[in-house]
Amino acid sequence: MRARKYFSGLTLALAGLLGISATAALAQESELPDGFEFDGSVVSLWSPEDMRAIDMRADNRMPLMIPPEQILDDSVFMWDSWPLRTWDGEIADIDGWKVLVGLSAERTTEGVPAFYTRSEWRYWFTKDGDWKPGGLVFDPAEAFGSRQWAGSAKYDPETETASFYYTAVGGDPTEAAQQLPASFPQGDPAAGRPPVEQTIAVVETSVEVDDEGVRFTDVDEHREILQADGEIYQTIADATTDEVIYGFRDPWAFEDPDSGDRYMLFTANAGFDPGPQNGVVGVAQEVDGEWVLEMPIVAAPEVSSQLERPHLVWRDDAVYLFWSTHSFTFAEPGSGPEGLYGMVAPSGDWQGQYVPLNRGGLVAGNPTAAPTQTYSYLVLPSGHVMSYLNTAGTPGGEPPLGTWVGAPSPMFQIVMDGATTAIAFDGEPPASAVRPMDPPPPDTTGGGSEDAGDDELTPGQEGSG
Amino acid sequence: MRSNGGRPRRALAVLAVAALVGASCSGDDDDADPTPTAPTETVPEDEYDVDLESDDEDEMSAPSLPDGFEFDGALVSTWAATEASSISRTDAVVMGQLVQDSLEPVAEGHWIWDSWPLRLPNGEVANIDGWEILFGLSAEITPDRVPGDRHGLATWRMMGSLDGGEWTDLGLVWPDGDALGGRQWAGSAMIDPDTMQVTLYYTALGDLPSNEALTGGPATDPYEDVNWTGGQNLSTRGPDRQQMVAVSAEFSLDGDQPTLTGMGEHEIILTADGEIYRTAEQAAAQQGPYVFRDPWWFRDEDSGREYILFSASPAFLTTDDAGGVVGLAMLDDSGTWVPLQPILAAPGVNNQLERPHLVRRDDGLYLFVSTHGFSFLGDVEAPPGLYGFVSDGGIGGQFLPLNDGGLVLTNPTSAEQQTYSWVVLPTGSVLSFANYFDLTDAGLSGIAAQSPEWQREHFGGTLAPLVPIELNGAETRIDSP
Repeated sequence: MRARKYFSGLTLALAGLLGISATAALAQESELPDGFEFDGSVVSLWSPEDMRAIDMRADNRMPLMIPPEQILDDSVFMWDSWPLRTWDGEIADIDGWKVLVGLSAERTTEGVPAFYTRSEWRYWFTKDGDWKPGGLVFDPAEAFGSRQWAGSAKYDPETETASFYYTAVGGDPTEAAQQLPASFPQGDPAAGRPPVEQTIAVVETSVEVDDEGVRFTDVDEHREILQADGEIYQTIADATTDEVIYGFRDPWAFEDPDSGDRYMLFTANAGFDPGPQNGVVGVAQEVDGEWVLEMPIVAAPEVSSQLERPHLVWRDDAVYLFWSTHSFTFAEPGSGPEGLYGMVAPSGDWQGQYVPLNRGGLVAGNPTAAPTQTYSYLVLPSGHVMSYLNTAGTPGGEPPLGTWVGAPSPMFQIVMDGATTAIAFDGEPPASAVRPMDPPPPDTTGGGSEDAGDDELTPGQEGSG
Repeated sequence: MRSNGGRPRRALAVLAVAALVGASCSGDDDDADPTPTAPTETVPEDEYDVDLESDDEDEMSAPSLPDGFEFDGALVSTWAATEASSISRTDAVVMGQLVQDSLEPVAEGHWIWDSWPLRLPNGEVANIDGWEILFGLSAEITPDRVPGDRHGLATWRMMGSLDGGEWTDLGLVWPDGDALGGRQWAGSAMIDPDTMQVTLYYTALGDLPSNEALTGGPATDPYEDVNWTGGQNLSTRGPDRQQMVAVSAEFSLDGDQPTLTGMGEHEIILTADGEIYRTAEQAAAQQGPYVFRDPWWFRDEDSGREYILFSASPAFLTTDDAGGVVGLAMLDDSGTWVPLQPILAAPGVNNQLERPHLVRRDDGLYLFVSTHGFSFLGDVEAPPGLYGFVSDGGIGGQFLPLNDGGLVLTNPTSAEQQTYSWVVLPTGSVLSFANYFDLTDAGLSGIAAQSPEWQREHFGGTLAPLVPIELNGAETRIDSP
């Protein structure tokens, strides 16, 4: 079945080359006789040739970002986040309320915590653009894993319930300090991850809304729904990647718009390729209430060990697959910026043949001057790109303490046109209030910097939205 | 390369599909696959020129973004080192050689350099009863002065042309020395045709009153771009504070001669805030560049608001190669100028994006800056010139470099410093001044070693002929005069 789709994609592409319209070409395609659909699976590749074509230009270079003066929630570090969505992919609108779910860790006075280690699911809600904290989505003590990583969140308006698909990460966080992975130096906020065996779990809750906001109640029993099988998807025991990188995580649940069947994409390492550069975009399908592993749709052998938070965006003529990749996961001597990468299935079939966007796959890379300003991207149906401000405001990737922002990034947009994309942002005059990243040095000559007080920096018309 | 401003939608679609074939038919097609060594030569240009307008059709089926998801924070367009490094000196951007002997002084006995026209609020050059007005920086030429001294002496002059005739000197704008700062640098000037009120926006340099001479020298601050010209009449106390000042006056034709009367109070409207824009103290502490000048007033047609573009150094980037920015300030509802985030940053590329200004056309909003060759950072080698960017999304939108690398106009290699400080007028004509001619192999840095006579003889110090350019989407070219 997969093989046939592969050929369909090629036919379409060749038709394009010859100048025949795609519709006409498909109409002329003769049926393959029964029996010629031989067994076996074909997985689209992000290939070493593609990797070498990664080229950051004006259209796929992210703007430089300046953190806001007032971040969304200054009581926590926020990183990966995603909206509560209905199964058709729209951002859920529940009596006007919209919900943002994300990974978080409480800010402490002792500097920057090892926040991945303490990852908890929190949520925020808004009606008018002003976000209010909702607290924990569920009690971590009742969830699988010692902490929970990303994820997706689905809302069913019929039953007024939400389903939270999360990554259950094992190990005891208190042992973390003794088991620092070599790739993160001591003191790095990303350090301190305890053992990272990962499974995928779900929990369902009721959703209650009123004038005050949104609450998740009647939290059901958590269910572990997927584990790496060791054949298609590598187990941590077999992993050859750095344990920081190894993945069986980031479930992104969706409904196939054609069949109505429910699937999820997730990030994993191939069980059929020893690695370490063996990242794949995994697939599972819900069959009779159970989740079943399927073959991945994209593999990156000898390219990257990590295709994180994979997700899809549909357009009239194609379906787009996006993921996040760290610069340190590429196979040497290849390289690419920390950023949003993607491929397109021109057939419009999300299980069809994918080709890299912009030749190399790079859709939005952090600018060279601020290589780690953002990470963990999510392209919404509108083309807007969510991410979080990581070390924004400090160039060079070696932030001094206190420059980790940990809040949602301002949105930019990407426009998709066939196998090319372009970054765009426009409209409103820029906001005035930015967060000072470095305190001004002591005033040595008297005067100057106090001439403009903080209160003068907020123009009357600037809103938070 | 596109030959015209229009973006061919159909051709783009075919190219996109062709690109799919190149990628999906495997990686052994060497002709189609870009290599890491020369990606820009093998990738068709148009493949990356995604047509934002045609995508509107696709975007129509995409839902809009709910309130709240436009998270706070600022997005700043950047100029990348890869772009600035890829600049080529084509016929489209290299102007012809200017013959120094053909130049005429506008103000006898004075050097004139940076200049700008009096404009209407919509950006057009004002014409009042046949008079067109230019303002320019000037300094008196005396036997003990070299051209490099002029930065420490600069103040504004007014020049006029009646019915397209010769430009004549209309004298100093502030003859009584009542302007702020030890000297006054560039700027912009706007006239309200209803009230004939002129508002001047200038850069005040230093804390001394302008009638008090600076002493000592040479300057120790490399970012006042003066050392190489041997200027003596400069501050030795580190970088002089740069502040932006507004002052208004009445325009009148007194005895057929344009004059400014009733000069109002000089008001400091912008001082570096230390959070977005680097202060003199911060620059001194980190021994980094300090730029906070060149206010260019404009009214945004979309919002009706008044803004000022200016050249600055960022406070939010602090490394040695943090580069310069094009700053933005807005007149808020209370009548206060508030600094906003910059609209362009050049980290790792260039630390002086001077005299930024805009030209609005149907196919985009064009941003232009002047920069010296020595302002480029690190390994970036690019000529002194007029550089430009274009945004489809207005003043807060994404600015992309023109002509791929950003270069719009530069001097020929045979006279690499013949003009500087370019202003693109709404018509596309480029104003500049005649700078240095026939330098030694050492270029600008060899000037100070020469005799004062030599330095004066090799300096133009007057308006240069206009150079017309054509703006064509993301490309420009020098037009026939």
